[in-house]
Amino acid sequence: MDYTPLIISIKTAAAATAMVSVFGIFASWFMCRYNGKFKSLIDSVFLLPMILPPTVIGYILLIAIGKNSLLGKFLYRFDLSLIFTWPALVLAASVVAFPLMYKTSKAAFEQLDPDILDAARTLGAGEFKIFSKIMIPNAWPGIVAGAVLSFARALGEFGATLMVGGSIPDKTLTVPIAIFFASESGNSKEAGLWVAIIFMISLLVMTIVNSYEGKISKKSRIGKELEADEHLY
Amino acid sequence: MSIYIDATKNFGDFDLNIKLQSSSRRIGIIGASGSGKSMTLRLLSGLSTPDEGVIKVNDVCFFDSDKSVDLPARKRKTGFLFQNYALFPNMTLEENVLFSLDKKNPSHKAKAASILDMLGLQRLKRHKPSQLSGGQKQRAALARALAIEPDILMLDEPFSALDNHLKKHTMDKFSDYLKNYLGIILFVTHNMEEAYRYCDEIVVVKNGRVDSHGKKEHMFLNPPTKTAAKLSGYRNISPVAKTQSGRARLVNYGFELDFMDVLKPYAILPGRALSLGKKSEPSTFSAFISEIIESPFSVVLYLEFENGLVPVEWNIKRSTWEEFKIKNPMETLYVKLDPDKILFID
Repeated sequence: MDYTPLIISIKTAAAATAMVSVFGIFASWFMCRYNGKFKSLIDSVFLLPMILPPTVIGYILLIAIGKNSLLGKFLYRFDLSLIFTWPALVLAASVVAFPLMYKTSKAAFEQLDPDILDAARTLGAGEFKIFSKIMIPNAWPGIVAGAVLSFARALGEFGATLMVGGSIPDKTLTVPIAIFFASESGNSKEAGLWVAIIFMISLLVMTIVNSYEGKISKKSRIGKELEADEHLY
Repeated sequence: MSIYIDATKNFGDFDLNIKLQSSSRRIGIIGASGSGKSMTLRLLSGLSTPDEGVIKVNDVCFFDSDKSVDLPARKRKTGFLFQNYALFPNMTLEENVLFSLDKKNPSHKAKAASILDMLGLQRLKRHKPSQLSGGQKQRAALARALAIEPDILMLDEPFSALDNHLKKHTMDKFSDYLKNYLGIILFVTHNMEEAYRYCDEIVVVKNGRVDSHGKKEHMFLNPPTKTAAKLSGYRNISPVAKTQSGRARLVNYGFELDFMDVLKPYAILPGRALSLGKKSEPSTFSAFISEIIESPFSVVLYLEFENGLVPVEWNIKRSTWEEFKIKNPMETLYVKLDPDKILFID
């Protein structure tokens, strides 16, 4: 059996996770600070890929990066095209995974004690220093959880990936697409094997996220008990 | 040393309009919760922005809506202490203090070390905030604030999250350090003992406005307003009505007093105005004790006067109470009033 689809899937999911981590964290930082009248609209747009059918995302991406788009025309000058390439795969996976990263890291930022951020301001820190030295380290568990969930989501992406990436063997054929073709052609042994692999990876991811969250809440509980018990000055 | 604030901010259902000018170095701001005392600190430190007004500290303009001046919080050099300490949980105590300094600069490191030393935190410097007790945390927060050499130190109910035992110890320590601090201290609290201990001037805030302001001795011994009296711990406050015969009637307690220069709307009956008297002495009224609340060192008697609507709370020392030798709690007492010690307020 050929394991290339698994390697492509993992590489794609890893690259997409890296992308959405950067964009998702900055987007949620921006939204924590932005209080303009478009706040709710922008928030909805960021979350939209979560509820849109993947084929709709795929279609929009085809228009955005296709030959007739601005980007497509620009790349065509250099004899390049994004459609049906690995970068397109990463892009599609990133778009569907983005809301998970954005939502999780935003929730983590919003849970930070606002007094801590205010304290940093009175201590002379600029907003970027507060972001990098206070917000990110203290929201780190939430950011990691967001990245792990994004990875799982990117790994499982099918519809949008198929539309912009095609299913070129050894190039853009990912595990979910392999499952689809295997099952369509009646190759139930191969389909079943791929299903088992994806199932195991997803289960592992959820276990990691859960145990990580369990650790966080346990840690904060111990902190509180210490505070209550300790009567040292 | 001076602060000047004349600022308004609207919160929809709450309207803040603070006017305050002081050249005192130790200012206590007291008020009920939600009165706007903490918001006053936030406006001064730049953590919140007024809708309109002027804020100046030591003649430096922090905010002026007419001139579009709004110095950001990070440039105001105000040390801010929060009720819940607000230490950075991801950093050790030493890193917290070094946050505003340059870690790699040896003279900055030495400065942080000397501050930690002064506050007795040197041996805890590698601890994370979660490993410290409440009192240690607040001292760490003070150390962190002192690192910026603040022109003003703002303490927003710094001891209210501590239990009594830790609170006393921490207050004693703070007292020592703050004596040496040469800048302005603004101390927000709802506890008048704290305010009296740390401050020279007291500002009373009520419903988003400055209710009264003055030297602490004056504010506590002779509170100018009903709010100031209540926050100073006075218990027996009664409306005053003028009787037909030109006497002053304390409506809540049912007795009338001679004299009056100007009739003021409220009277305070402090414990020091009461003493045990004899029947038919002047200014002596009969009362019975409706309730006795005993504490280890003091006793509170609830005295019901004839024609009174509300009992008078009389806080006396335990030894005084034992001298009374009262056997039956419902016994009638003759309580003598010293009219000169009754306070009349607006």
